Amino acid sequence: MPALRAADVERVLRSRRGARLPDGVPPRFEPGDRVITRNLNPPDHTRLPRYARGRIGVVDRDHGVFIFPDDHARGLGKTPQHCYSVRFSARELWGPDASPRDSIYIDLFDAYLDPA
Amino acid sequence: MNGVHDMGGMHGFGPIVREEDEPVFHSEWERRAFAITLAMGFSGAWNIDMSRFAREQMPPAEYLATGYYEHWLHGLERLLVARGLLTRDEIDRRVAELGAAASTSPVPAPGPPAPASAVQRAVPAAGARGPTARPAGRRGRHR
Repeated sequence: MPALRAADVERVLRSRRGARLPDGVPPRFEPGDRVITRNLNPPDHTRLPRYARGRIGVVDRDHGVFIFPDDHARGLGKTPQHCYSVRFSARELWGPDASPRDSIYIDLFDAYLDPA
Repeated sequence: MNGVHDMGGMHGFGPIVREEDEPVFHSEWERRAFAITLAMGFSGAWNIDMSRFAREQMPPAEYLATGYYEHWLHGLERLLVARGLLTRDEIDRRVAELGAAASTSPVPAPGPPAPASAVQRAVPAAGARGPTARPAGRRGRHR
């Protein structure tokens, strides 16, 4: 197992790669598409918040291709896929008492979404 | 995981209080917990998403009663033990040594757990007569 030496700390921290991957995977959605989130309840890691499951939103923009954290946390590899900013109305998430003017943008992966 | 970390939409936590000129670390151990976590990330024994999941597995009552870097430390210890790099016993022994060195008085032992018998007495009593059941006098709105 590699050990991190004090002399290497700065170089290692500066060279750390983010979760962004090359754009080799086609997007399933594009900005303006209506989507519905899947009702997923995995017993392990997910980035899909509970309050946003089974809800309808609109793809606002495509961030590009990233490591899919759910599979990565399970040791299943990177499963490269697009991550989108999806806009939900506050009323879609919180019901009729929420402000009609507010929206919530959530970064969501392809595997969380279906066309609506 | 439908855990306590997924707090969006939960009520009752009060207002968010912003700390004026908040420091990066509130004490020296937080700085060390952060550094050790990054250094161990370099080992390749796990990835960042595994670290996040490890933090999410902290018992919920403990999670709510502790701070950000305590979550980090919990996740780190959990992964170290899961990968066989340390044993729980080694961690506990080291914590006890440091605790003994840091204070002349011994670390207080945790109090006894709540007696299960109290819960066991209460639960059958509550279940015996459903307090919310009412006679079916009116037709419901749906069928």
